[in-house]
Amino acid sequence: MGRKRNFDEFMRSMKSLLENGEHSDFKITCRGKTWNVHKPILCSQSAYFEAVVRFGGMETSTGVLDLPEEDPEILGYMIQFLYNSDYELPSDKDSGPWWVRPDWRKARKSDMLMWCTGLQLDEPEVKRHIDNLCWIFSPRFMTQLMEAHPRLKEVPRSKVSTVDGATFQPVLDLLTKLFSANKNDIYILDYPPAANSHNAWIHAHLYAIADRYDLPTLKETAAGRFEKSLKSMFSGIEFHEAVGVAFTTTPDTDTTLRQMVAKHIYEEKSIYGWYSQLDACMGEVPGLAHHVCKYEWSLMKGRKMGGKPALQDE
Amino acid sequence: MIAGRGRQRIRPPRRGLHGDEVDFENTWVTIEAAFREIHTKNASRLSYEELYRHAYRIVLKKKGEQLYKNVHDFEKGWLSREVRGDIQQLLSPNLLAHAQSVASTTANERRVSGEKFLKGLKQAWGDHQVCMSMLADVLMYMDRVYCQDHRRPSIYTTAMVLFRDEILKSPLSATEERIILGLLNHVILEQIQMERDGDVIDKHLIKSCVHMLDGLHADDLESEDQRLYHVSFEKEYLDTSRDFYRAESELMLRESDAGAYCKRAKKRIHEEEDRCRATLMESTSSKIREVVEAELIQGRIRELVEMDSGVHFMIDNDRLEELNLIYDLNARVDERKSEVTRSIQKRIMELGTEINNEALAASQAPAPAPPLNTDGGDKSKQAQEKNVNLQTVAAIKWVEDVLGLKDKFDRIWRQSFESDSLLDTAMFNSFRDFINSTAFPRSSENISLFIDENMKKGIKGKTEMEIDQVLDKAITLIKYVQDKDLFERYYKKHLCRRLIMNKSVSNEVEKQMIEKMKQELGPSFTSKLDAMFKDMSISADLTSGYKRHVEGLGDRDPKRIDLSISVLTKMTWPMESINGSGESQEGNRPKCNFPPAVEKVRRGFEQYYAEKHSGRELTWLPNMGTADIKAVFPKVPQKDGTFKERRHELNVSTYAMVVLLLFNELPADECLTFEEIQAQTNIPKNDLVRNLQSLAVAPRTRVLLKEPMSKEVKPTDKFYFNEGFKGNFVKIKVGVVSSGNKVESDQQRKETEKKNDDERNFVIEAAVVRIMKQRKELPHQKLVLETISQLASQFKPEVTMIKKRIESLIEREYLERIEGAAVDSYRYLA
Repeated sequence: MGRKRNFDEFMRSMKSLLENGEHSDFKITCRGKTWNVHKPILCSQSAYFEAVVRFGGMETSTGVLDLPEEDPEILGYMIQFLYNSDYELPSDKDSGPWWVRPDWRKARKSDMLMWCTGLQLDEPEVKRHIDNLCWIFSPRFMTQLMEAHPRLKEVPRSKVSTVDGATFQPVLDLLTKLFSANKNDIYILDYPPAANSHNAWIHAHLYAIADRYDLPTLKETAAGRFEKSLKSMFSGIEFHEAVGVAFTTTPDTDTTLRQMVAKHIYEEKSIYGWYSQLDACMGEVPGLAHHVCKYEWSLMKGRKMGGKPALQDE
Repeated sequence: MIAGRGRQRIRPPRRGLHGDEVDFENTWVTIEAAFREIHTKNASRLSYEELYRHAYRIVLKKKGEQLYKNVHDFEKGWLSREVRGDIQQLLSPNLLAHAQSVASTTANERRVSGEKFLKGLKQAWGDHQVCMSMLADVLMYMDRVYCQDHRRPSIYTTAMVLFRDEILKSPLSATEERIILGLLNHVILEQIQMERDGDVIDKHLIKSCVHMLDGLHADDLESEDQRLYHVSFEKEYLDTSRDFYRAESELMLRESDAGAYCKRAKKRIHEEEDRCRATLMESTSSKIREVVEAELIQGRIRELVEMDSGVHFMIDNDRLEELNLIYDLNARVDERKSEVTRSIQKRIMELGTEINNEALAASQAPAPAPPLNTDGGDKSKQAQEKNVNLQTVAAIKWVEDVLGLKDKFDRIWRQSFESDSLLDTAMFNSFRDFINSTAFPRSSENISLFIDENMKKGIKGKTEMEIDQVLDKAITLIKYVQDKDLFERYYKKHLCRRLIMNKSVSNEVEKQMIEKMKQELGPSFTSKLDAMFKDMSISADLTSGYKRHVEGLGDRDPKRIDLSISVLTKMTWPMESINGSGESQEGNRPKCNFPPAVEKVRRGFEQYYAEKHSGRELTWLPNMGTADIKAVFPKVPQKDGTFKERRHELNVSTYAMVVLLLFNELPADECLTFEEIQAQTNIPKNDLVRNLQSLAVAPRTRVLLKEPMSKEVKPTDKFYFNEGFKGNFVKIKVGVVSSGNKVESDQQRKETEKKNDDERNFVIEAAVVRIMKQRKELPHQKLVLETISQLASQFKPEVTMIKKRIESLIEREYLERIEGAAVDSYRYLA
């Protein structure tokens, strides 16, 4: 345990180096934000920073590296990673699921019938309606949802909680109530998104920035977290945006994020037609359809060969 | 209500997914301008980040290939326009000219213009490297993404290849066919030649250029063996060096002596090693060494060793340092060092043979001695005695000369030959060869005599360490002797006399010697010698035991004779030397008549001994004994006028004692003739003559008077008691002529060798029987070989001798021939 304590202490002191900028010998600026950083910490992790220092250009004479084209939020996470070997998004501290949806496979006929009559819709319509309700409201009213349905509290954070029909009833009741109460401003696309639904976008950008500044470990970390956040994301404008980032900010040869997206879409293809955003994605994001097809083909090939799906390009 | 679950945020405007295309041409203009700044050393005003981002974006937007090509073309243009011109300006006319004709310029001019060229090239190379690493930093994303994905060499590598093609492989000028690289090699080689001629050159400068050649490759794959340094420079370097050293070795062989040659060669080898370290590449070290060694040593070593000032000269003049040099050179090209070895062996044989011949000459020089058995007169006998002494001296001188030679070569071996084990063996063999040379059969005897001399006199007053050194020297020589059995025979003979006559300075040292022999030659060699010592110590016990026995018999008799006895085991002791000069065989030796008093003691002891050891027969050897007798001479006037009786204690041989006691019975003025004495005592004639010579001829111990007074003793001579005898000391030792250990006469040697051969016959037969008993059947050849190897530690038997023994064993039906065997074979008959 001593070693763990030592390590924690070390990480704390690294963190404070960045926070109070002590012994700083270099500055990074971005759109009015400034970080007081340390060359040894930067250069030891990235060939890019080494080159900045070695080149002896303006950055050396001024001691400032200005990165006006970066997003300060993303850059901030990157610098945090350089000092902490990880980055923390605001929503990482939250607990409990951030989204709830019914598990349609477990929904009973009787519940279905009940919802259909209640909403006066046929079965597919009901599914789409409820999914939409969940997508829009559940992240935003999770506190109330958890009070109404205490079992949700046991679900770890950043997870989608799928609940079976019977248990979903109280949730649905609440959602319906909220839906009627907010009916006036529910035009889905205009509604401000939940913080969490934005995470995939951030991870994708971090992946790109890591590629740009040659930080392989950050790339690996960001990719892992991107994949997780995809799973908790269903569709919507945030999904569209995150996919856009994943497919345009790295060279074509870098397929890590691209394959993750393709796999996710393929696995959710049963609801493809319901979401205009998803459809728009397939049309607009270059190479997305190509990767999805490729993924499907790799599955078929895998099945034929009697092995597991081959995700890598051959 | 909503707060707390992530903040609401306003995102920057998204860029369109397809938009944000780069304007390649404009961006490239920016990048190219920056590259020019870098090349003109103005980089400090540039923003690295900006350039990096430009290149990054181009690559991200899939324009990497175009960027790569543009950079390549830019760099090519820069090198061929800017840099090549600078280099060409460095080429002064004499630099270009001297490549063909050296005569027109002085060495110094060439050195200066060469250095100028090297400096310029080094500068251009250095600048190119610096600039290219800066460009490579800017283009880092291109290297990492575009070059890796498309398997292109990094931009830095490409730029290095460009330097090779655009600069090194470019012609010297528009009208020249020769290229810069050729000139570079030439200039470096010329500078090195200047250094070999004693000039001082800028090693660091050359090393920089060499590094450049080592960093570039002749091919585009950067394979290890295609470095320009190896492919272009090194080959030429080795070739020119080969020519240079070939010429130099010819010149040196003509003009200097071997020692100077060796020094020079070694210096050259070191110089080349240093050169590789300081000026060229370490990897050339072994190759150039091979070249230098091949030219300066390989083809020359024989000539060098055999020069008038070669190894022979160095040995004779103790040129240890030069010997070390020539050894070192030889060892470099031949791990067996055969040339030096051969020459050393030859010299040892020559010097050894010289020593042998000197010893032979010295022992034969004074008048050719007549053979002993011709009954020569007294004169020739005296001459012979003298001759024998001279031979002894010669023998000891031989040993000392051999030891001196050994010391000399040991010193050379240690100081010059780095204690090389191969040379040790070679030198050992050469020493062994001349020591055992058939032309010089006296080695064993000489070595034994040398030990004898030291045991009797040499070690007196020496410290333990010095004595140890003497013993070690003796052992060293014994190790060379092949016929160990012959040596043992001589050693026994000499040891026997030392022990019985009590001639050794120290019994301890004798035992140490035996101990050393045991260590070197094995316990079987010393077993008989050990037994001799044992006899001596048993005898001491017997003497004291007998003394106590006599004392126990009754009152002390004032006239009693004290007996000190040595009882020798017949098989252990060399009887031939005990019986004296081989003139009479044991058994028919006449028994000496002891005077009654002595006879009584003899009987008494025999009785005492028989009680202790029944069944043993004692044979008395009066020729080996000594006696202390008290003699009283009549009063004679002293200087102060008084008269005084004179008492002397005479130490004489047993025979002399017997003779002297005869005169006790005789009235003062009467005499005895030689014949009378012989008749009364029954002492063998030879012994009697010698003893009477000591008593009546030797001036200091003339206890008897002889008539007529002459040196020789004739049967009719008369002897009187010398009442007027004057001695300066109370104790007087009457020596017997020829009692010491001396070199053998030729006849004695023949006898010794014959006896040795006889014994060898037994030893060989025993070995043959032992082998056959174990093997039952064996071909002739194998049997002979095994016999030789079994006996190697004792002597080297001749094959004919073995054959004869086998014949004899067949006759006596120990062995039989196997009929019809493919090769001659024998079978053992139980």
